[in-house]
Amino acid sequence: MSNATIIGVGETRHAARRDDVTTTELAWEAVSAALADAGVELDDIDNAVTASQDFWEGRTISSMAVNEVVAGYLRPESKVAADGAQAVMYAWARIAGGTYRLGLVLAHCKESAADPHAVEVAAMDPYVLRDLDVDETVAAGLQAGLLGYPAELRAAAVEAATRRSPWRDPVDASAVLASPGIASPLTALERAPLVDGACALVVAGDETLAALGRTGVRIAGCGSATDPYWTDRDLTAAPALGAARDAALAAAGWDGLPEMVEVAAPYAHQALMWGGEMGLGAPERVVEHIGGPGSPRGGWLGGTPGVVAGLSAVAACALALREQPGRAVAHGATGILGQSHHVVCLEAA
Amino acid sequence: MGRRVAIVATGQTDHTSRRTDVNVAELAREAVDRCLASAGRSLADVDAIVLGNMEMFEGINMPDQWMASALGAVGKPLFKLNTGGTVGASTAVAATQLLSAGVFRRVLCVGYEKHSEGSVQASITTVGDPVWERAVMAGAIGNFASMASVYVDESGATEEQAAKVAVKARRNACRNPHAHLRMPDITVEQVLASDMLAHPVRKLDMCPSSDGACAVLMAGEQDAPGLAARPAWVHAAVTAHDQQFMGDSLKRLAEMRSLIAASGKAYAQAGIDDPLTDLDVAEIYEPATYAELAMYECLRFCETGGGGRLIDEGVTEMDGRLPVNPSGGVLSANPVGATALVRVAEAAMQVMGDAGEHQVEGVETALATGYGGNAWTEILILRSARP
Repeated sequence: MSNATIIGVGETRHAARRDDVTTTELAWEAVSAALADAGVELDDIDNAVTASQDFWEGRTISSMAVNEVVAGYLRPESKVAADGAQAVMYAWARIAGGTYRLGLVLAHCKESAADPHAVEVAAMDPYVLRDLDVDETVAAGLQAGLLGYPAELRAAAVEAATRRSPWRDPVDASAVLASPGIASPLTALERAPLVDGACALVVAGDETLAALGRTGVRIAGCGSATDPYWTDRDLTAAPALGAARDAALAAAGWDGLPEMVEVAAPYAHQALMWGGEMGLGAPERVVEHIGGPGSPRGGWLGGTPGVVAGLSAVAACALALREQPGRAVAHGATGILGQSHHVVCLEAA
Repeated sequence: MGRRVAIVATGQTDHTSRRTDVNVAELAREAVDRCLASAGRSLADVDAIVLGNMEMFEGINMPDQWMASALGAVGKPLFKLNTGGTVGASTAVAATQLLSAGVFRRVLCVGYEKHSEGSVQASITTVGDPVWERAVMAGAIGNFASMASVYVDESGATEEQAAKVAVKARRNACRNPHAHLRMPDITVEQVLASDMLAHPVRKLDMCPSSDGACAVLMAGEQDAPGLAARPAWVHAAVTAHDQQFMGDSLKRLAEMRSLIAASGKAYAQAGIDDPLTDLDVAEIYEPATYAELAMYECLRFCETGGGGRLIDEGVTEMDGRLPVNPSGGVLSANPVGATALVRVAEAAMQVMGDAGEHQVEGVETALATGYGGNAWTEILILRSARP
């Protein structure tokens, strides 16, 4: 069995509208940066796992757009229709099992190219809910109401996240509270902005690492788990997150969480709730965590695209571990109100 | 080298044009239940689920999430793949790699499609690049017609030879209780008299649109022997894609580069020198009759240009030297998200001796392929012998 080690990280500039690039070009921006960071060429890559969603891309088999920029021509690419953190888990297995030696992981999304309401309504149960025109914002409002976190605390989470973010200007809590309502009790700035972007990693097996004479950030373990559909579960809990965390920690052989934990949540109340589920403590403590060095970029609220958010969390932790070796945990989520959770344990000596 | 991996159980729905008695989730669950029942197991024995489907075909975004409970995935890792028609085989390749790495011990692959609840040809049109290709895309049939035209021009294959593939498939399907199109009295003349859809492809040259699902239980070497009397061990699991633009691969079907590349790697991994001799049966993803003839050549079952000769000589018939698609193939059942997994399941059934009336005698080695995307390939080689 081989270790799987991250030796290259690349990420685009995430912005509201990347009209300057096609999806292919957007992906290449991240991939080429990751390849340069790793010091390898595209032709060196022997496999790729990508993450994207057909509905957001408006294209059946959305990975068609990126096949060639991940070395997919006559080589193996596979696509998870999920957050990029789950793609890391699949890529980890491909290297660890010895099937491949040098892989790319890519997540991409051009949220500006889609109608978010239509995409979210299409994720609703087609027989009952869809005709009600419910979208994820409505569902998130229901969830936030059930959780009952004070508005000031939710706003503080946004402020903390944006102060850690390389992608967004800092947003004061007062601005969050003053922003227009979108689904009671949520205001517009409590939701992560819709942006375009991509993120890529280069992952190497032990033989390749030795051949390149490189060190990197080892993927120590991964976990993933799924909860029931959002209308069939208690929206104030996310047991799948705890299950994914436990599986990842067990795979890594770790006894508990390290100080660096990046949780990717698209809504402020979810950042508080999922932080608690992860084991970061009470909501007030989670806000402190998001605003401190334990959260490299403030998670999804920091302004990454959906689908990309979890992979961006992995990338952020990997880069932070290069500066300060140790351990980190990165998280991503898939589905309405985060139905599936994915956790990645990272370690750098 | 990672752990060795085997298929230990399979299950399929009875594929048909319209399943009004079940919804999408129930359709998939039917295959899951049949698969687990065949092995005397339950969902408690499954560590993770890998699901394949084309979201836009039914118009459901993230169907895996809505179906999680029906799939038995609650509390477990649920991977949703989407690679086009290949996706069913992609789930088996993913499961192989997850098991080989020891991440899980038992993985359930599930593929499904309920074409009757969507607009397949409209969805397929969105496969094309939105700027350069989509405006001239017209679903699957025109695509295969252009491919077939090139193949006919290159190989000299005749419409009679293509019709023989249709006859073989629909007659084989008569022995498969899950097949959609079963036509015991079909003749070459009937195929040639069927409606011309897009030259040279006639109605009976094309696969149907089916509602159906398939599930395959895979396990690592520590569990597989206890889960099946005769597991189908994975000796090769290879993926190769082609470029995204049609104009970049003018001979797409006549010289299907991904199939040539992937089968070359798979044969090397499995120690196969002469596929026609070393394979006992093949379940290949042939969306149209002409495709099967071209794939014979790309898979090295014959020389370049020899696909028509192979069908003329009966080599790929049930009683031939290398039976191809004893199940009736894609020409007899095509629930796209499941179709490539059906190929894998059928190949495994042949190795496990579970294929019933369409069992080929003495199968030790079987090949399965998936076709999708822009001429993308997945290929697995299964054997009764442990690697």
